[in-house]
Amino acid sequence: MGVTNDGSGNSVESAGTAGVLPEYVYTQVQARFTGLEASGKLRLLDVAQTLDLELRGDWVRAINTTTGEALPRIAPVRLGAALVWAQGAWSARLDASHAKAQTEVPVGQFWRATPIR
Amino acid sequence: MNASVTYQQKAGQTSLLWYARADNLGDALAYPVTSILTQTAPGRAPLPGRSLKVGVQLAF
Repeated sequence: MGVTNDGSGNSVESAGTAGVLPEYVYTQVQARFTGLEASGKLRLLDVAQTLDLELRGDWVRAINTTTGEALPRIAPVRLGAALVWAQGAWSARLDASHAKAQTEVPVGQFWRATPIR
Repeated sequence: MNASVTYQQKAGQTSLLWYARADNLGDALAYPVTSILTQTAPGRAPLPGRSLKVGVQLAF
């Protein structure tokens, strides 16, 4: 194995007999993150029992300002709601959250389980 | 969708929180976009499916 590509996916170090080792190459880029986040709690019932409605949402847009491409592995738009009930020592919670499929991805990042090859 | 039930109990200086929680009730299949595994092992590192956890949390 080796790391120098001879042009056909094989390594120079192995004289073309073995594939080139995949490398993780980390580089720094100029980036801009823009986002919005909100959450709130609404008391629906306030007697011996309490019932609250919690709502939350967030959205973030991350761009590589040099290429204009989206940055990889950024969280998608997320929304959530929960109903929280309490009475004395007891409490119960029912929670639902939705994350939109993240389609703002740079070239080369898979955004589905089975990559398009 | 998740659901949980808790019961708070006090025993002297110790406080006990009994809980039962069920996560991903719909057994939805999803992959974390923020994880590198979704890129390096596509389709093989999903988020957890439906689960039930029961336990007690003690604070003392």
